Amino acid sequence: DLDLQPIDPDVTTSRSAYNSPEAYKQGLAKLYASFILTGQQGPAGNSDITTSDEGNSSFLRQMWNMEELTTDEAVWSYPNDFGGTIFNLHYHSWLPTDGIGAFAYARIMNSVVLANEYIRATAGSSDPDLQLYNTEARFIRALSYFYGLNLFGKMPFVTEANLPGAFLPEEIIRTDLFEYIESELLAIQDEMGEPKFEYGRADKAACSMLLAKLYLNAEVYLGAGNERYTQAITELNKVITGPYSLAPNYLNNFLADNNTSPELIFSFNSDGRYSQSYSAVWTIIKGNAGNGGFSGLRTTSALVGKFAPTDPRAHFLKEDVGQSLEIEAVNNTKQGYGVNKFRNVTSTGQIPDDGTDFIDTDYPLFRLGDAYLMYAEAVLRGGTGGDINTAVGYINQLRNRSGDPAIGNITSGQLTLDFILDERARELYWEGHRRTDLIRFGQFTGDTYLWPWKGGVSEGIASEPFRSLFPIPADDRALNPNLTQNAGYPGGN
Amino acid sequence: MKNKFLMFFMLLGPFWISGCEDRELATLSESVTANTLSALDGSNFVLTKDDEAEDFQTFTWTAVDFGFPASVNYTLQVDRASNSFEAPFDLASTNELSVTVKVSEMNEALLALGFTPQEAVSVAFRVVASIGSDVPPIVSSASNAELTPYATAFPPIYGMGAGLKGWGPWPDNAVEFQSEEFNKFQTITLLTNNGEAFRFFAQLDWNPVSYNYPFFTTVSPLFENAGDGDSNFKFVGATGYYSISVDLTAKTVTAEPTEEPALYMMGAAINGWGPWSDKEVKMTYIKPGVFETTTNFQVEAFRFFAQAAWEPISYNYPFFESVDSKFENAADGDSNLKFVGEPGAYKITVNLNEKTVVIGDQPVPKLFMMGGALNGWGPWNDKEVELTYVSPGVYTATATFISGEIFRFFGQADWNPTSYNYNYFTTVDPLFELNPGDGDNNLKYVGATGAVNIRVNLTTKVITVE
Amino acid sequence: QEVRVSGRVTSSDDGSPLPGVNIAEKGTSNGTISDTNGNYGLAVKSGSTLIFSFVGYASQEVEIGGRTTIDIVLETDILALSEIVVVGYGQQEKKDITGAVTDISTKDFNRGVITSPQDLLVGKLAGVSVTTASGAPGSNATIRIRSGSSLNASNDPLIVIDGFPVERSVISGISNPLASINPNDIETFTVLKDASATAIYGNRASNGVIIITTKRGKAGKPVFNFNTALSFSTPIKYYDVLSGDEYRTLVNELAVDGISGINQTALDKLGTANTDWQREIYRTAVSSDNNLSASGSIKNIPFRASYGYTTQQGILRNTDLQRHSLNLSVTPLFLDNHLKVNLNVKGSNVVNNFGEQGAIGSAVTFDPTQPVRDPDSAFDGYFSWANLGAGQGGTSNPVAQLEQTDNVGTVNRILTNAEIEYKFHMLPELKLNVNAGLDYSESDGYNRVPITAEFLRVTNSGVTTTTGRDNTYSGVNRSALLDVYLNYAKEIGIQKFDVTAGFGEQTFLRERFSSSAFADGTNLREASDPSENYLRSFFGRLNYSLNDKYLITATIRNDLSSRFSKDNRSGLFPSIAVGWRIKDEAFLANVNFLSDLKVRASYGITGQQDIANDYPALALYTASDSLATYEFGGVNYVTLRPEEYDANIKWETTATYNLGVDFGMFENRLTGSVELYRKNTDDLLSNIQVPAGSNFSNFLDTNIGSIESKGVEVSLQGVPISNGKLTWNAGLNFTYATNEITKLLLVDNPDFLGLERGNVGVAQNIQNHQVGYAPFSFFTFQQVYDAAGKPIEGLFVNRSGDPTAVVGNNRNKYRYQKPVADYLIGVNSRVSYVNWDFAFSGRLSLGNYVYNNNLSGRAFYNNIYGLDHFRNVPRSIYDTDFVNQQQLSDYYVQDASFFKMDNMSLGYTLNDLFASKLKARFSLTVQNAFIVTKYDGIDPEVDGGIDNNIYPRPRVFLLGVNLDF
Ligand SMILES: [Ca+2]
Ligand SMILES: [Ca+2]
Repeated sequence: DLDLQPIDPDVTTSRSAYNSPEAYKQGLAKLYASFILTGQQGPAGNSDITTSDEGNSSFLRQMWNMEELTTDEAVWSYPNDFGGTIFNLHYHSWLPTDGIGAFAYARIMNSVVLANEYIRATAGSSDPDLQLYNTEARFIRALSYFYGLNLFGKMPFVTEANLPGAFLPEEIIRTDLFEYIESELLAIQDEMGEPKFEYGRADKAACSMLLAKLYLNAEVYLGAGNERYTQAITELNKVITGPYSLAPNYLNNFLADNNTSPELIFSFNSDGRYSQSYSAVWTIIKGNAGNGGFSGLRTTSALVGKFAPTDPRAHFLKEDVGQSLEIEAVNNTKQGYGVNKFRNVTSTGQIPDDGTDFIDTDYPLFRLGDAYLMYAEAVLRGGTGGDINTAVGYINQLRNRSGDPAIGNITSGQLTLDFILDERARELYWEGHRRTDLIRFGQFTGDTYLWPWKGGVSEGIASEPFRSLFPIPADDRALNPNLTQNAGYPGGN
Repeated sequence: MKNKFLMFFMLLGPFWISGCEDRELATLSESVTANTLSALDGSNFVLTKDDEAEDFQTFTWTAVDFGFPASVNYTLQVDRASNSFEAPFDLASTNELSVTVKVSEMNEALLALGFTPQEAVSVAFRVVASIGSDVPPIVSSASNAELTPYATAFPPIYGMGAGLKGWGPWPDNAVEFQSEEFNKFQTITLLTNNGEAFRFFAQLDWNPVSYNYPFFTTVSPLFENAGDGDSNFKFVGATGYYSISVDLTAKTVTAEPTEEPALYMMGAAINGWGPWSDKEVKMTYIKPGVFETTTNFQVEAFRFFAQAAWEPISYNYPFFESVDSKFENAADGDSNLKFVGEPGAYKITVNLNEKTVVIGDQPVPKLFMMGGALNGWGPWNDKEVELTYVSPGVYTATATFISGEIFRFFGQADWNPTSYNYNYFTTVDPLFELNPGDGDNNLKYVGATGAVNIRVNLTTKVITVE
Repeated sequence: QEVRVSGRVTSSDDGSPLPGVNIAEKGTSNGTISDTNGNYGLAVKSGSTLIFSFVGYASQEVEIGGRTTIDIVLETDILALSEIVVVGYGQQEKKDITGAVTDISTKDFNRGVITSPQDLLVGKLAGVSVTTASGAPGSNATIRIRSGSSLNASNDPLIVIDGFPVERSVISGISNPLASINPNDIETFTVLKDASATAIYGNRASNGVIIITTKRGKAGKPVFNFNTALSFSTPIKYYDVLSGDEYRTLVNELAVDGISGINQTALDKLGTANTDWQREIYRTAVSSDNNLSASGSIKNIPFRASYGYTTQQGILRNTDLQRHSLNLSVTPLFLDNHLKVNLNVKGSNVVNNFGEQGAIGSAVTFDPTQPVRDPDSAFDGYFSWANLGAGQGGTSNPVAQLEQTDNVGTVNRILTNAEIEYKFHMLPELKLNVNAGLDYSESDGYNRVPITAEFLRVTNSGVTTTTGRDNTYSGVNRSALLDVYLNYAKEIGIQKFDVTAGFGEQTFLRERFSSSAFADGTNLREASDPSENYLRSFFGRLNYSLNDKYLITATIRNDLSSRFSKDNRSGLFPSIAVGWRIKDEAFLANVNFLSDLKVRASYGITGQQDIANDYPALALYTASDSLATYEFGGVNYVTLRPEEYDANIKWETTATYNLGVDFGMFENRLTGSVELYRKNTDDLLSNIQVPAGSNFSNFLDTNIGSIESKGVEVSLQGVPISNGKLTWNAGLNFTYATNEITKLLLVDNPDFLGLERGNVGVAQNIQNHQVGYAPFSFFTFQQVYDAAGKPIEGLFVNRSGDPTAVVGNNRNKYRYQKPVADYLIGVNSRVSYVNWDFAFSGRLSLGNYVYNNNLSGRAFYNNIYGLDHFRNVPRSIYDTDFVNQQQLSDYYVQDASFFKMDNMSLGYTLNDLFASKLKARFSLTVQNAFIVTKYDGIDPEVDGGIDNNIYPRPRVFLLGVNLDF
């Protein structure tokens, strides 16, 4: 008989894959894992998507690169990576033929199709566990599309109605994608698990955070005048009144036991022994200049300069470990301070006993500190349902949580939008928010704000306004004629 | 036959040679010809602020041939014509063969080169073509023009001298003359006919630029040449507030007498809602639109008045664009300001130009007296006498002192941590003496028992009696 | 009326009797074989004709006339055209062949240290390229017939050993699937190149077929052969890096200029030694190869038995290979010669010590100012950068790498099959053939490094710990075969028919088990990846000839592969070929210089299904391993992933056109053939990007794309001199081939820059598949040079016309050259004079280019010091003076055309020792005698075209003794 079925114990057919409750949870785990791990072998091997470098294909890693390397917060050291295109991120000169955007784009769509399959597999179940899994899969899909919305604007659009095969997905434009994500999140919001019901799984608060991010950036996604700041405050209030509190120590959010931080709302999890990958968390811990790692990452003086000398959130690796402040050559690993914020030690100073090259630190995608800052910003931008004094209080809680009051409280007079942008940098640097923030404040492109190496020169020059969206990768446009290019790029209009 | 056979082996030869053939390498020309920058469409340009958004010029040039298809970066430079591009300003960088420069950009370049606004200057343009750090750049021919920049920033000048607030120190005693137009300055200040001199400075320092009396061609008769070696100004009019205007282009100084600029605070937050001439706090004039003072605030409402009367002008909470978070809108029908901080004395600064109200972070420290010379040595919160805050470090009180008894000052309503004894002060009114041997070096009152107006300056460490 | 004819067959060489000669009555199946003394006897019809044929000798036809005793002297064959050639499911006379078929037998094989059968072929046949991966003992070799026709599916030819198509997949524990076959047991290779020849193997025939026939027993008194060879291998060349003193000088100069961040702290780390690391890791290797065989018949059952023992040291210390092989072939005849059985059993045991080839790169890079050993070292006494606190990313001490690694694989293989041919008693023209066989390999191995080794380590939060390694693996390859076919051959007047029809089934099972862990057993990961696929086929062939001049061959094969779904499983692969023996036409009868001339033309379609994935059409889910789980609430869950699949995936097909001419001149003193071909492969089984969102991954195994290959092949063999004492045989083969991708996507689009290939760094590729270009073309920036011809750092040609910077814009890259040669020319010569013989064989390869990653990755000043330690650099750093790495410059794509003298061999033969009982030959061979090339790496022959640190191919001096008794 030539109808062979696989004999590998790790491989099942789609018909028999979900033959146990445990299997459904394994399928769900894959959806979450698709953001941080790269394949079915740790740390690399049997990769989810085919690229020229599996470690670099981690969803988080490329999302991080696109959010951070394009800004004043992070600089990469190795110019030859991605066929010599990686510095295009610093220089704001990326092109549709670059690799990095293509990696992120492929990742986004891969998480979407995995979620679609899982939604099909769990559809219509009366088992409450499966219903919840199904809801979470819709959240994961919305989250994936959110990154598409944020980075590329428009995306190929597939839902559980599209079975895998050889077809050309339709394009969804940015405003429609916004509405789709919003409608999905609103539809599932009440069905999600209660906050903190199980660490690592998205819950109601995660859903609200994602909605709040969608709303806070609505004018970017939908155009000026389409503000949704009141809705943002509504969602943020749900988050803030939830069972979260600021970690007693700022750093606790970025350490090997950050799963115990009361501040984390939603994280992507790592484990040095059982959950290994070369994801963003790995890179920013192991690749930090000045800590004996591979010195792939440093920061610019523009970020360093935003901190008061006594700001306890400023964790830089400086001259005493051989790093200099200013970057005269982008590929000089000794220039630019390292950032020692993420670490693979526990809050009690223990090194995890995994004995591997991998790390335990989870990636804090959403945390209460961010919610506080978003709240303050939404209030300042005119949203109702919150007030400025509460906002000032939140900000001062963040500023003083370390127990070191040296940076001091701010007054409501000091709580301006400019302050918020800088405070977000101080509080959230290297957490993958910076590009989105700069765009929302109109400072990403153009010459309103210049930082070292923006535009390709050491002192920074203006970049073209269309660069607040990345180009649709040339390869996918070649494969799928339904896709149009973003304005400003070759082939766009 | 053998020869024919060997011929086949000879066929190898040509293949071997063709395999060794090298392709043509892309090679940088040994001598690259300089390119040409087209002339400007004119030779004389006066730039004006009104045109700042307009295009100044589209510069065009020919391509440089480096001998291979290169990505050439062209940098358009400008410099003083006589300067041979020793310190040029980079106007624009492009990979194209032309670039359009806006009037504002051109003007910015000229100012950056240090040229004086409104003065024509001869400049030269050129294009530098570069293809990488390891290849010497190619410089185009130059084009010349005469350009006149306009001013974009209007920095103030400063008056300094004993004829104003005193000869230093900077910047405390400098009087700022604001400018909104190139070379024109204006302020309101107190002029005292005290026979002292002053002059104008372009910076907050003695050097490098100052303007004395002979610099000007027309000076208000209220001023004379002080004839003091520096040819400073001397005010010869009646003491009072004047509006002074200085025009460095026309070289004129005018002065008109004017009211003292005034701003008052009134309300329950301070001394109560009136009556006028009693309860208001008059703020100190700093410079036009800016006033400050230090006063005690209660958690109550108040607002600002432009005159020592309810009418016609007052400023409430909504008037300001940025108000310190220690105030909020009292929402009392008048939208007064309500003080919501910790009660106490604060330094408050009001800027009517920028519509801001700023208040100090901490209340001004209090000062108490305690001892047998007053109500007795305690207990606290009963026997102490609180002094009234006047200005930073300066406190006054009227209290009854008992002759021959001792006391000292305390920084808080408690024994610790801060107290000030006799030895703390450098100058003490003779009514008070050191009481040696009590272990605390307290002050001893040696005057007659009775009310005394005492004034304590913790900064200069002086105790005076009025 | 029958007569009995008898006689004696002797060799024209030396008059010795020839046993085992086939004597047949022409036009019948009646025949016999000569005995040990060359005597024969046969009853035949009076007036008939006898055909005497024997491998290596020219056949003779003799009319018996009235004779009853006929003694025959057979001439050594220089007329190759009259040989019998093994083809798929049968054999044919070479003169009747209509396809592109070429063969090579023992006497033409390469000599030297040959551990794998394909090494025998290197440079020998037009259109066949064999590239060994490296000089490691038992290293794999890539065989390409007509440059392969696939992009992602296998381009390996089908290899058939004694009728058994063998598994292509390499089992863990051995580098080369053929290394378990003893080359000494091989009699002939037959290479089928065009579709007419290969289509009978339809489903696996697109890349050609190599049929290996092993030696068989010859009837008669047992004869023995013993041969032994002792060889010495040495490195040909060392990579040219700076000595310790030169390095110290350079480093101090760079420190003055502040280049590479060299400061006083760095200078303090320089050592005082002068260590030539390459000399520390290589050695003169000693190897021996010993074979003993016996051949003859016992109780009329012909047999051949052989035992081989090979022990080969690699020139890299701590690498070697040992092989024991046993080969038994029994060929009895039963039922009055109507039932012929051919039983083959091949067993082998190979132990391969792979060592640590990472030491090769480390030796090039390691700081030459440091000593090998350091008494203060905490790492078993080896000098280590970790002693200086460098910790991460350092370069490992190559000697430590070599000596602390224990990396051994053992493979046992048995390949056995029984071919049974039954000639029907009532209809002798009809034969039933059954071929049943089993190929079974099992392997196990380990790769261990003690925890004291410095070069395996992890660093976390500034704390570095060494991990060691304890990896083990095992595997099984099992392939079972059953072929059944009928053959009917009939001559009717001037017409000859030969019809074959049958079916076959073969199953393949592959099991792989592996575990990896640190030396202390932690960080354990285990994987088990069994997989199987089946093939089922029906095939038929018709050979027709008219008047022996007009030849037609038609074949058809229907294949079913388990890799495809029911609907797409079946593929039909036909071929047709015609031949015209022109020389036999009257008008050429008097053209005397021409002794033979035949033209051939063929067309056929073949298929391909051999991709890595055995289940590309099935919707499958894969579980993650234990290191890729995901944590929810403190519990780590294995994850379950749906796999991308194409339910409609189907056969890749190749259409091949072939035009051939065979000729002989000057009484066949010069013979040769010319082939012209074109191959078009469509529905390529590509692993290619699919539109985002359309499947479960961004790449999918699916049928997209086309490739076209074209080529010319010329083979010439000549005997320029042949007299009693002096004979000179010479041969030349010439191949010109091009290969071009003609379609890559469903709709080709110029915005698509092509598929990246050839990784040389982090997401950094140097090769590219694109329409209009050869596969694996190099994809680089075009370097700009100064007038003196020196490359200018960072300066490249703007090829896109985009006004922006060149670097960082992939559109400025272009396809510059490719790894595969345009021209391959093999030459060989053999001169024998009385007892002496001298032979050489060499190869010329033209138009093959290599990306010199050894240089691009090392020869720049900023490479000298980094991550707190020093690295040596190639001396050619002075050719470029690059400060920063210029990895994407076409400067590094270098012309690697070469001429290699693969073999030179001198032999002396002693006959008639010990009263003719012993014949001995002594030989001295130099393998890899010399290389002529402009390429400045160690060896221009780089499989795949990216020169990293390949294990260098050594020069070998070999002393051999061959005894026949
Ligand atoms: Ca963790
Ligand atoms: Ca498996």
